[in-house]
Amino acid sequence: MSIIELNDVSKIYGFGDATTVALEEVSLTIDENEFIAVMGPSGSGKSTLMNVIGLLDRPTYGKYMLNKRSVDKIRTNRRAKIRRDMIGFVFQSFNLLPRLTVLENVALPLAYKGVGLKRRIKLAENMLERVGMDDKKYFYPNQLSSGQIQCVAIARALINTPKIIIADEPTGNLDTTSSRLIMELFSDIHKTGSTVLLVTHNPEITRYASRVVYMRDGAVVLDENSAIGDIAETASQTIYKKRPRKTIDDDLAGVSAIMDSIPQKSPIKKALVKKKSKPGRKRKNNTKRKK
Amino acid sequence: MTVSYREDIFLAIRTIRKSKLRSFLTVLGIIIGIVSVVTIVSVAKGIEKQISGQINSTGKDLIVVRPGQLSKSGSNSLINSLNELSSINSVSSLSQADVNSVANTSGISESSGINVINGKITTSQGTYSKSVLGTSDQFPDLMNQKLAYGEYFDSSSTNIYQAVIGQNIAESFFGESIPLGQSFTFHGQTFIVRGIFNKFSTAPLSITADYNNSIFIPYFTAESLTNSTAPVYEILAKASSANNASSIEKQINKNLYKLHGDQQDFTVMQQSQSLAITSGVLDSITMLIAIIAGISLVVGGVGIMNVTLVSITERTKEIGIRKSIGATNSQILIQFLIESSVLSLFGGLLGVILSFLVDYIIGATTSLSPVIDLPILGIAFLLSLSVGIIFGSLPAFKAARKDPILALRYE
Repeated sequence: MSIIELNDVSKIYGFGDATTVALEEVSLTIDENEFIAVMGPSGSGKSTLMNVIGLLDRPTYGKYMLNKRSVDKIRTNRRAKIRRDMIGFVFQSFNLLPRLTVLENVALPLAYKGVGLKRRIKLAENMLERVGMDDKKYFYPNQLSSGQIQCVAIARALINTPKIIIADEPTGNLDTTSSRLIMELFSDIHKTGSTVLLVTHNPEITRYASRVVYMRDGAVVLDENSAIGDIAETASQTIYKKRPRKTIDDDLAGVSAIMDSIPQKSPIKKALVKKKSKPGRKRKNNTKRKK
Repeated sequence: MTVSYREDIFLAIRTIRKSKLRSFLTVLGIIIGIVSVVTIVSVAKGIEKQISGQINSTGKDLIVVRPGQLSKSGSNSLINSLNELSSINSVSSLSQADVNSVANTSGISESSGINVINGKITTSQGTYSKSVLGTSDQFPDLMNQKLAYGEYFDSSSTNIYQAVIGQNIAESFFGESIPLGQSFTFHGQTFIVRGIFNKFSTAPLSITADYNNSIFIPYFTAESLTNSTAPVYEILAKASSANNASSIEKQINKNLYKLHGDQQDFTVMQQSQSLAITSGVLDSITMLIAIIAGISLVVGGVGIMNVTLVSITERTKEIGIRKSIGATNSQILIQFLIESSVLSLFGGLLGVILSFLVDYIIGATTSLSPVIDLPILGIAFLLSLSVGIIFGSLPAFKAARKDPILALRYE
C-alpha cells in the first residue's frame, strides 16, 4: 500500500541566472510502514524533498499523491490541517518553543486540532511517558540536555498519531549515546506501524532503515533495500551499486541484532514493558530475545 | 474551528510578565492616551453632575430672564454651541420696566430682579472690591434656599441698609463664621449683616453667579444707591403651579417683546433649558478635547504596532515551528492579534488605575469633582481593545502569511 507517491517532482528556486534546481524529476513511491533513510551530500535536495513530502513546500512541477489523494492543488489551510493530522516533524535543531514547558510543547499540536485542555494534558503526559520524559514535563527546553530535548520533540511529533514521521537529521546535533537512544525511539515508532522518513549523513543510522535512498544534485541516484540491523552496503562503501534484495532470514537476523543492542536501561523499553505489562508475557519476550 | 484562545491569552500575559520594562514602554502611549481621555470625560461628567445638582436644588421650573439672545439654531453643531456660550455674557438689555412687567405677569407667585453694583466694601477686617447683588425679598423662595443664620430682609422693614451674605464671604470678609450684626460700608452707607445663607450648591462652568461669594442687599436700596443706573443682571420668576410654567414663560416673553419695541434682545427660559444648553456646550467641548487627547492613543497604537512587528521578526522561527506542527494561518493570526490586544488592554488597565489617581488629585486640589463611572470604564476598555486590534492586525497578518520553510530556516 503506497502512502506517498511522487511523480516527476521538481522544485526550482529563483529566476533567470539565479535559478537553483533543488529537486529534479524525483519519482518515489513509499509504502506504509517503511523506514526510509535518505542519504546524500549537502545541497543534494534531501531537505527540500522532506519539505515537499511534509506539505511545507509545493513542488514546482510534478504530481504528489499523499495517501492516494493528490495534494497539489489544495489550499494552504487544508495543507496545514493534513500536516497536523498526518505528518509529524522532527528537526535537527529540535525546534521546541523555548517559552513553553515540555508538556505545553508536546500538547501544542492538539491545541491546534481543538482538543480540550484536560484531554490534551492527559494525552501529552502519556506521550511523554512513552518517550521516558514524564518526570521532566514542567521543565523548559533550555533546562534539558539535547538528547532529552529531541525525545520531547519526538513526543510532539507523535502526539497526533501521524501516519508519517519526517525526521531531518534528528541525530545531527547529538552525541553517540543520545543518537542511539533517539534511533531506538524511531525504531519503536516504526514497529507501531508508522512510516518513517529519516535524513541522515551517518551510515550507522542506516542500520535501522528498511530502505535507503541516495540523492545527489536533486535527483535520486540509488534506491536500495537494506536489512534492518545492517549498515546499508552502499552507505558503508560510498560506492553506488545495486545490491540484491535480502532474504527474510537476513531481515530477522537484523531485528534480533537491534534487540540485543538495546541498552537495558533504555527508557523506551521500560515504558514499553510497563504498557504491555501482562506478567508472564514480559518474561516470554525476554527469553525470546536471549535466544 | 476551535482555537486555544485561553492559551493564547495566558501566553501573552506570560510574555508581558517576562519583559516588564519593554511591555511598559510599549504601552506608555496607550497609558497616556487612556489617562487623558478618561480624565477629560470624567471631569466633564463631574461638572455636568454638579450643574444638574445645582439646578435640581433650585427647581427646574424656575423661569430665568437674561439679557442677550441665545441663537436657538436647531442644529447642535460644536460652533453653534460655542456661539451660544459667548452670547450669554453680553451687555444687559434689561431694565426696571422689565422687572415690573415680569412681577405683574399673572400666574407668577414670586419674582425678583437681580441688579449688580460694583464698589468697595469696608469691613473691620479691611477693604475689598466686590460686586453686590440687589434682590427682592422673595429671592430665598425663588432659589429654594434657606438661611443658616438670621433672616432675609423684607421690604416692609424700615432699615433699608441691611445685607445677607454667602457662606464664603463670612470667613474672608469678616474673619468669623457667623458675623451676624456686623456692619460694612458700601457706597457711603453702613449696612448691617442680617443673615447668612446656607451653602448654595455650585458648579464650575455654570452660567449663574457664584452665590456663596455674594453679598445681597434689597433691590430698591441698590436702585437708590446708584440712582437707578445699576444694570439688571437677570430676572427670576416662579409660576404658582409648576404645570403652567411653560405657558407663563411664553407670556413673559410676549410681554417683554412688546416692551422692547419688538426686539428679541433678551432670553426667557426655564432652568431645565439652561441645563440642556450648558450640558450641550459641555458635551461639545469635551468631545473636542477628548478627540485631541485620543490622538495620543493613535501614537500608542503605532508604538504597539512597531514592537509587535519587531517581535514577529524575532519570533519568525516560532511561527515556522507552529506552522510545521499544523497551525493554520488564521490560528497564527489570532495568536498575534490576541497578543497585541492583551498588551493594549494591559496599557488601558494601567491607564485607568492612573486616571483614578489623577482624578483624586484633581478632586482634592480644585473645585471640580471628576466622576469615573461604568460607561467611562467601558469606553476605556473598548478604546484600548480596538487600538490593540487595529494596530495589531498588520503585524498579525504579516506573521500569518510567513512561508513556513523560510520561517523555519530563520535564525
